[in-house]
Amino acid sequence: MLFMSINFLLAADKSSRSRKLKHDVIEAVNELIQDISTCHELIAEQAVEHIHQNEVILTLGSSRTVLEFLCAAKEKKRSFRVFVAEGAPRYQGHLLAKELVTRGLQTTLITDSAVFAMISRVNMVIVGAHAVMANGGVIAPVGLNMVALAAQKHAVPFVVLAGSHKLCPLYPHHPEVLLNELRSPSELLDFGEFSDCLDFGSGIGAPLLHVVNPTFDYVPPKLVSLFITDTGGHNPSYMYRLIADYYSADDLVLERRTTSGN
Amino acid sequence: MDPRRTARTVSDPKVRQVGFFTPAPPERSISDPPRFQDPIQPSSPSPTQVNDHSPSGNSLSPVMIPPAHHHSDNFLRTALQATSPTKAFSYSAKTVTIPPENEDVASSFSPGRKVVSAKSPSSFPGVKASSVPASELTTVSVVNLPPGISGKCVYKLKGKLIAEKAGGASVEVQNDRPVSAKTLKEKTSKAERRALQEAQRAAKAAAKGLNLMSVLLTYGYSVYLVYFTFEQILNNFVPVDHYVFLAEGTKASSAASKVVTSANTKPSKAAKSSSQKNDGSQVAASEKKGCDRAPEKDRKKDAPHPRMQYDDKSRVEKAKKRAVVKKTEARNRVELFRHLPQYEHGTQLPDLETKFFELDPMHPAVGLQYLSGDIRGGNARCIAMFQAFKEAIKDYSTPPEKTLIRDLTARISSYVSFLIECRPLSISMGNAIKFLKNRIAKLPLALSESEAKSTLMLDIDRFINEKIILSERVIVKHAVTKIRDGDVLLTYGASSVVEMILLHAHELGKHFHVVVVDSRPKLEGQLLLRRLVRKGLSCTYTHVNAVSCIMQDVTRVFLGASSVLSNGTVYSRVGTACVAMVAHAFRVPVLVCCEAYKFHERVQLDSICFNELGNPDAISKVQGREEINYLDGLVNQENLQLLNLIYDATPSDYVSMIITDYGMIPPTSVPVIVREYRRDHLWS
Repeated sequence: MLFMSINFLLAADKSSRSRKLKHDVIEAVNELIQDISTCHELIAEQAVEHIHQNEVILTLGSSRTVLEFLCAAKEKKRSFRVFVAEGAPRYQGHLLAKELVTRGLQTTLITDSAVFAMISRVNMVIVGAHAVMANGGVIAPVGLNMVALAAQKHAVPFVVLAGSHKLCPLYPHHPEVLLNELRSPSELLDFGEFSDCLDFGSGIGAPLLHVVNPTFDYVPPKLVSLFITDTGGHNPSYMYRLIADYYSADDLVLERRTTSGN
Repeated sequence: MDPRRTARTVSDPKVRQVGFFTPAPPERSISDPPRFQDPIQPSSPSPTQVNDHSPSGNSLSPVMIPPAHHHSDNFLRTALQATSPTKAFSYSAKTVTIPPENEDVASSFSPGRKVVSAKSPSSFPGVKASSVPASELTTVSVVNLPPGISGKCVYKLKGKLIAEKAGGASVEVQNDRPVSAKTLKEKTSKAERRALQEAQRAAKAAAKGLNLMSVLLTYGYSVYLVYFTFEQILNNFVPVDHYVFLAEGTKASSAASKVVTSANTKPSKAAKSSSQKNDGSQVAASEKKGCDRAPEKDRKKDAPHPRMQYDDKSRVEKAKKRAVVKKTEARNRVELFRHLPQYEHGTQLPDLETKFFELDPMHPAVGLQYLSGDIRGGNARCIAMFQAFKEAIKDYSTPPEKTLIRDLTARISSYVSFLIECRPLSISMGNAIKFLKNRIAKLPLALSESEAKSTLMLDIDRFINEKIILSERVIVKHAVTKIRDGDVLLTYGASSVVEMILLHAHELGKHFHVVVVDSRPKLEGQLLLRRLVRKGLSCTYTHVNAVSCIMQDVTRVFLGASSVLSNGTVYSRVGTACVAMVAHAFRVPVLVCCEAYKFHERVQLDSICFNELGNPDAISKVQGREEINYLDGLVNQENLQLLNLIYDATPSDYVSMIITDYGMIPPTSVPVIVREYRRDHLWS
């Protein structure tokens, strides 16, 4: 909806209508900002419906939505423990663990590699998302595909918290590569020690050593048990419908029309 | 004879050799061929057969999963056949239910056995074996030993008539039903009564065996050996309560009651052995049969060590009293892992260092290296331990009034507990220690101290060479055949065998790409990566979270293992399970490379019941990333726990193949290797 308004704005002349349009756009943007800021609360409100007493919850990396979700359950006097996988190479899990500890939750920090070992004692996996695709797949912090597979193996519910602003009308195609972002190798390796192997100019033309440091993982919809959005809980198969509520069909073909228009 | 049995005997001699109740290869080749003898083709044990099974016959040919059927069922069948037509022995069908126990009684009764099996195969041709095919279904084998240890053992298997003749003294043990059994029948259920009867029968047989042995054994410590017999029998009767033995006290001597009480005071020990027996007493019995009396005890002795439950307060207290070094319990322990030891990292270090020269004959350097993590990897730790033991044996001299076998075993046990204090033993080290203790126990008494010491040191060298170095080479040879040009191979952590495979394949001129996956906190992959890149292999490095991004390009996954458990579970560096799971999800074959000496008969379903905990501080600090310091002030917070798991258990369904020194096997065949082969080679 926002994009559509901007599109109109760009097309509009400096006519009297433009002021009205500007106003509408600003309105819409404000509404969106409002949505984003309140979605955490709306999602967190549902926490008590999903977290019961003595539950063991696993999460990976850090997400504000997850933090507020867990804290909301804690405020309702539910006592449960949280396993936080640290989420290499950004180690946002440390941050989440810190927040949870300061708010009084029982927190255990584990390495990402211990996820499989621990998942057999976990009741629920709760994670945040970067984006939710139209097919119900999730673009999430790296490592979550592994967690989702482990959860599926042990029949542990894999719950994704996502505000409706994270819905994306695209269908993923080869998302591991096309919808990903590669970060600096320096996060994984010390350049000082490995600089000689990373060098392109070393004889054969190609470096001996490549470092892959992706930011996102794609979790296919079959591994997701439930989406909790600000409008309630949804199955992965229902996500296309939610997206249709938020995006008009015009938005989906937005890019193509602008290119053809120009 | 049963035609089916005969036919199989001929077509499949290999299985026959792994007899149901013959403990050692040399022994087996004496008693086995007659036992399964075809009346038409009388066979005599040939030296080639013996060679086949000596450890040096560890050829490079890929083997050969042993045939599926096991002797226990073979034996059961014959026992069933025996009972109905031949009523010569006054046994009802009940006896069929306990062949393993009877078997074990039989094997524990033969004092001659120990002597035979302790002899090296070279002395073997001196042993004459003759066989007498008996009437009906009974086979009798007569073994004539050389003069020095002349003994005559007659086994009537199906009738369970065990007659032994050793040193000229002939005693017949007739396993008839004790009369007193009837008097003890009370308001017990039928099953209980039966169990009771069987127990009594065995107890009586044992008591007779005791008499027999006290006659036969004129050594100073015959009671010691009797103790063994009893403990062995006792452990075979775990389902039956120990009071049975007390009740049936007619023939039990004071030694026997001592055994009973000692068994009662060690409930955890009994529980341990009962858990072992859960998968059927037949398995347990066939495990037992592989060994002699003395190693049997050793195995029992060191078996509970890795399984000490650290949430058991009283035992922990006891262990603390014994401890050489002081350790401080880590704070904020994870509730789920209370049963595993966890100490403040580094608190032992200064204590150990001060005691460096006090710790008489053991060289604490090895322990220190374990502790500081300088020696990593199952093979390296095992070799280092053996080198230290070798040094210790070299310096060893038997104190006066003590026998070498017993004293040295006790010494080794104390060294082992010292090593455990430094770092819990790996499963492979446990196996290696078992081997060494077994070797010590089987030393011929006639050997002088220096001879015994040199024999042991040779044994240790042989173990290192054959079981570790040679088998690594065999694995490399097998695994290289699975690497094709253009492959993308993924490996996790730093396994020494996998590294050798990759380097060897590179030397062979194969063109492939390696993906090294690594994880915190050890970052062992970086060390591997450096070594591989230095050799000119083209590599990709990533961390375990990104494994699902990279897996679609991978064609093979090679993993190392700390141990392979007998349900096919691969016990390895934490994260291996994640990698194997993702590979399985992407339909990429997972090849686990593991030496056969690391196989263990334990079973495990999750990574929590048995594991090792590392230093928790390694979790809160990220090496080389000083900006990650969120947890700096919070480490002592009550509600923050840091968990540093060392191992995890990969379920067997993620493993496509296990490459071991016996060849390439599916994970379902692990128990076969554990039971049939290792027993022959390692415990012989």
